[in-house]
Amino acid sequence: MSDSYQRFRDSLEPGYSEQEIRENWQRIEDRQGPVKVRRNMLSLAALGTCAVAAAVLFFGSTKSSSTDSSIANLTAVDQSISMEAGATLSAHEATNIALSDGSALSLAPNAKLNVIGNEGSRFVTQLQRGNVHFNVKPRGPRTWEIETGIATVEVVGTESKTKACW
Amino acid sequence: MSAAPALAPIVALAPTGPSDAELVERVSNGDKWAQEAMYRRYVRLIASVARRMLQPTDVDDVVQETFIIAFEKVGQLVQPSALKGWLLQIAMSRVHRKFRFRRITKLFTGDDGRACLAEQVSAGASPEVIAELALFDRVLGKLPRSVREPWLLRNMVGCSLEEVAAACDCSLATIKRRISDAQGQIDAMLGEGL
Repeated sequence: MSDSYQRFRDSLEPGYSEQEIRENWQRIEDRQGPVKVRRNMLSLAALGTCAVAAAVLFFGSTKSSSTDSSIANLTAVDQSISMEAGATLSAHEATNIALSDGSALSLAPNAKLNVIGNEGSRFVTQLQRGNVHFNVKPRGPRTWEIETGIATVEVVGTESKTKACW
Repeated sequence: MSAAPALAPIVALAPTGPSDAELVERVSNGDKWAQEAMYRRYVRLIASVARRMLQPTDVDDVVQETFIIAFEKVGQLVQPSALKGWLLQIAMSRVHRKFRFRRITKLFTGDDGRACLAEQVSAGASPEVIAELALFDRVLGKLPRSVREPWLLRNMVGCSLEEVAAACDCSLATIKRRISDAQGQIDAMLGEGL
């Protein structure tokens, strides 16, 4: 590729920041399947104000029950360690990380773990490299998903050692 | 940490992350993780395309609609390995939709919805680069969309010729000719001092 324009590309802002990526994914999840819902809503509107009011009440109650905002995001006890989505945990030597819900991670030397999602009731990680020992508190408030290449492990409350072979 | 005995290690065999073909298969089977992985793999590219074409207010819409449509229609993708070009094609169709809408609203707002490159520079850009991008903005505004878009995709987004061809739904030869036409017109206009 002729790259007399590389310096211009380098000077332009990238497509999205990590925060924009997360926000847009959330909106995509909210919007998925909405076209049919919107069409149905338009049909319902024709039925009259009462039907619309009922639908609003229905959707309002569904939403409030389906999103449990009372569950705080998972954090590390050591506040200097970020567990936010997009964070990467890597260790040159064996490292233990205690978490706010009583769970713990134990990273083997050279292990690398990416946090993909941390949304209160769901914690998603991708084990990119090495071995990590997960000690998940049983009957905790969230499900854990650990992606290791072609396999996804869902953990409710147990202890497991996971190795990545990407 | 508890000293309880560890379970047997879980070993995954993939040497790298899932291929595009694997992601397509998993998304078509309704796998939410694969949807997110596909999104994260290509969102920067799609956002970059939208940003170089459209004003900032339209970018999020194009990105979200591109992936929503992709997730819905992924089963129609004949060649799963061509995912990247297919996503670009969807993104460009959404960009064109925005332009059609802006053509109507232009009557009232006087704004055609086209991106301004000089307003997208990052913090450390030199004044010379900003001035040159402003010149490109003026020149690009005079080019027809059929040649402007391939030129932008190639030179300001950094797509390969094959990706530009897929995005614009044209043959490789057509795309090469359009980019060359655009470059010729840009060089001529810049040579004439606009």
